[in-house]
Amino acid sequence: MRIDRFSINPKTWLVLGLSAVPLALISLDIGARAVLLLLLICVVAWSGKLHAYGRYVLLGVGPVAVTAFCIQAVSFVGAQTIYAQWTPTSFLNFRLSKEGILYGATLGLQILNFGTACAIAFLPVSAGELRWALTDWKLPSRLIYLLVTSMNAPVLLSRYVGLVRESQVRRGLDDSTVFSRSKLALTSIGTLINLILLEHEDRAQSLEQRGLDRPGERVFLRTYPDTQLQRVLRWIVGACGICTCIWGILA
Amino acid sequence: MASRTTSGQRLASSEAGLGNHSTTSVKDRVLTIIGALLMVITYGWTLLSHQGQQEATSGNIAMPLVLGYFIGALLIILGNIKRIPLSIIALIPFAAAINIVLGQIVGISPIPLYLDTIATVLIGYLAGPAAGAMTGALTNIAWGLTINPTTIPFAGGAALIGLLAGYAARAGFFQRWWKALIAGAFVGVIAGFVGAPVAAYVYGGGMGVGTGSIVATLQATGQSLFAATTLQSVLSDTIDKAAVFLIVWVLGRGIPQRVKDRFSTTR
Repeated sequence: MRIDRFSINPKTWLVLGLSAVPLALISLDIGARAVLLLLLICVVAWSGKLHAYGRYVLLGVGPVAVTAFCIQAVSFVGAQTIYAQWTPTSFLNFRLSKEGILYGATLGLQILNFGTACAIAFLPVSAGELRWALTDWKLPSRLIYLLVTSMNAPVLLSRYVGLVRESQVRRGLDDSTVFSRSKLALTSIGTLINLILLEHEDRAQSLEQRGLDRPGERVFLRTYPDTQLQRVLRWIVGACGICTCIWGILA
Repeated sequence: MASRTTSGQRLASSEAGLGNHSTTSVKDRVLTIIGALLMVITYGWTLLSHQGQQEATSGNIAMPLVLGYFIGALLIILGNIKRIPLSIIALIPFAAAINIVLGQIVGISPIPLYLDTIATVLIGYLAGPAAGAMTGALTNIAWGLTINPTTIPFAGGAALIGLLAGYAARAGFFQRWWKALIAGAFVGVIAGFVGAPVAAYVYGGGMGVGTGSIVATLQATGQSLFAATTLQSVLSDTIDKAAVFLIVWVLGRGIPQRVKDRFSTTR
């Protein structure tokens, strides 16, 4: 039976990714971590989100992994095989060592694996799909609202920033130089916060009208395809994830 | 509680959710206590079981550490979510967005600070400890979901910062700038200790260019990764949280009294 990525249920993506997180963090040697990273990247590629993953790595886990590698490569404590040394003062000793490079690479791969596992869980799942999946798992409606809205909030925030900036320009405030634009940006923070604080009660009333706290089943306009095979797969993968957690704690 | 009916649609009374606290059930308190205990136990276990061990041979720390902190934060969220009025629930996503935008900008700069808790502390100051804790935890989870998953394991520490900011506001630490500075530094020391194990064992001290440089320098003096990261975390967090509390004090002075009064019931 052929499975294409569009027929994968959002819950399946979430279970796949979240089960991969403990696997990404358990103790593995460098080779196993590299293989795991390749496997996880293959899953991301199959999900069709490789481009978004590239941005995710570039902005998030990538710099952390590179920094962790660099720190350990040049200052690993207890190194035996030293390639180069730099001692700017008597108490500072930077050493590029084999052990440091290996440990740094292991840590870097651990960070990339963790980020890639999270990418599998969240990149193929849109905000609407996440809401549907979490509602189906009977999570509190307030928590679902907070998670989903927080994901969209930066976009709304940029709209508010745009409004504040536009009003500044229309009032004739100088924005011709980088310095004046920076000054405007600083002054607009206070305005932005006041704007958000003033609007929160209207938003709350809107939430109440929409029945956020109302108990009972939620009906969605859109449903997502699910199959018996995916249901079984979710249980198996989820169980494997829990076993990995238990093994990781006991080991 | 009386409910009103508009065009056949049954609506709850606005006083029920918008401004007042709902009472905390025993189940919610138990969840909060278990969550806090789980985080304390995880931190204690990390310290006791891996003290003095060479980092390269203590690879099994990362998973239980992340799991303990994350589940702890999740339980605290679940235990407090019903307590928070809808008006604050509606505010939290925007607070999280401010934190994410500022944190992301500062994170890629060479400044050895974070500045990703300004809105958390502001909400703690305006709306109380529970709302502050919720904003902190939610910021890190939403940040992880959208841009940077490395923030997810710090959700527990962020919740603690929001909680302590709320208690600091209740104790009157935001009345004078120097009091805010002292409270911020104190919260920073605690946050530094709580966040250090994750920063060390999960991220190898590489949470940012500026902070990473400090860890590398401290390790070059012969400190272990955990000791170097703890020193860096305490140092950076103390300065960072002192600065954040001071910024919130300044912002607080700019917020009109009528806006502050809207939060008086939740505080």
